[in-house]
Amino acid sequence: TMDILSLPEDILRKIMRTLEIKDRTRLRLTCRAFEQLLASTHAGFFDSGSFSWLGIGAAGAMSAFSLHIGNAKFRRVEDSEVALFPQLIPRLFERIQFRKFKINLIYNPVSLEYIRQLIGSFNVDELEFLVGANFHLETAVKIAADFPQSKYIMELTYMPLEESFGLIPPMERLSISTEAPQMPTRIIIRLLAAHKELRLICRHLLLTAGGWRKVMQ
Amino acid sequence: PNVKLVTSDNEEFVVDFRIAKMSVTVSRLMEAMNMSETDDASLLSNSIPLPNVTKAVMARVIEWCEKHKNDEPKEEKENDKRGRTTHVVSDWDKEFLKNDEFGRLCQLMGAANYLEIKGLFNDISQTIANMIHGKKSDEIAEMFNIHCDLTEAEKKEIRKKTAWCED
Repeated sequence: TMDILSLPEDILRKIMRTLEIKDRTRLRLTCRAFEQLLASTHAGFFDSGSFSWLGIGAAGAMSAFSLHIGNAKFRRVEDSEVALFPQLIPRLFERIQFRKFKINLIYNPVSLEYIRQLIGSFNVDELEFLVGANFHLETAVKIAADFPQSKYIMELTYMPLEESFGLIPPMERLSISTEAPQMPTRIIIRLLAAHKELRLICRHLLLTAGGWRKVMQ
Repeated sequence: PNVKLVTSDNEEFVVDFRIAKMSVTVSRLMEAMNMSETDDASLLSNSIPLPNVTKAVMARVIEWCEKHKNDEPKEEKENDKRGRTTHVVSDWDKEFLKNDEFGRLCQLMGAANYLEIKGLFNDISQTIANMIHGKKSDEIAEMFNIHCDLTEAEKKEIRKKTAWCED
């Protein structure tokens, strides 16, 4: 039987980018050469991925960590291991490409630096954020700035302060779900001008006839 | 019109012009040698040397090309988007490759890489990925004749760090 490692490196690199993530983790265990090869190769193109905290678990928030890369899920880990996780990722691949990657910042207790480390080797066509508070909005805006080639989608589950809307870079789609009773017409006009698509999911939203007229104009 | 291809062991293969053009390497060489489909004399008087391919492997390559000569050209995705989810090995190709032991598969892959026949290369690459898929590390090591030089402590450490990846 021929030794797979005797294949030229350019061929091995091309094979590496066809592997599933879970197969990469197993291949790492076969020998040092594969461990090094995997860490220095592109993991290929994945249709989707996501990073979130599923909620605050009984053992503390850290227990609900969840990272999806294609069909592979990384989750249910001890608090102590979560801190090490961003170091694992660079050992599985050098870069990875996603069509769509979603970052759920709601309940998410990790720092901006943690997220930057975690997704620093990612190329993303469309980066989506789920944001539930102002300090998470700031995090999302900073992460978006790290991905200047990406398109962005953002879903806000709260009503930000008016000045915070100005921080948000142009979105392919900005959705706002809010219980807030009023949204000034000038904000709606501003958002319509800044973003390709605006979705307002407001149970109690009050917009006067005059306001609608302005928006339509 | 036909094109003559000569392997490293001096075997001459006469193939249809369309089949020769499936290899980017052969296409380039024909261009460099001013060989054209409409110029029979240029095709008859020249042969393309392929010093990195043996007779046995060339026969397999031509068999694959014969089957795929009428395929629609595939849209080329940008570099970062190639691989993994984009390539599906057809039933015929699975059948074509299934009896090759790993060494022969590697030789065929080397030839596809040298000849720049992307479809064949991707088929074999995906076939190898499929061979790896779902297997335990020691099964992969045995299949590919890999000698493990990691210590038990290192393996334990890697296992610990990758234990989070679930189905």
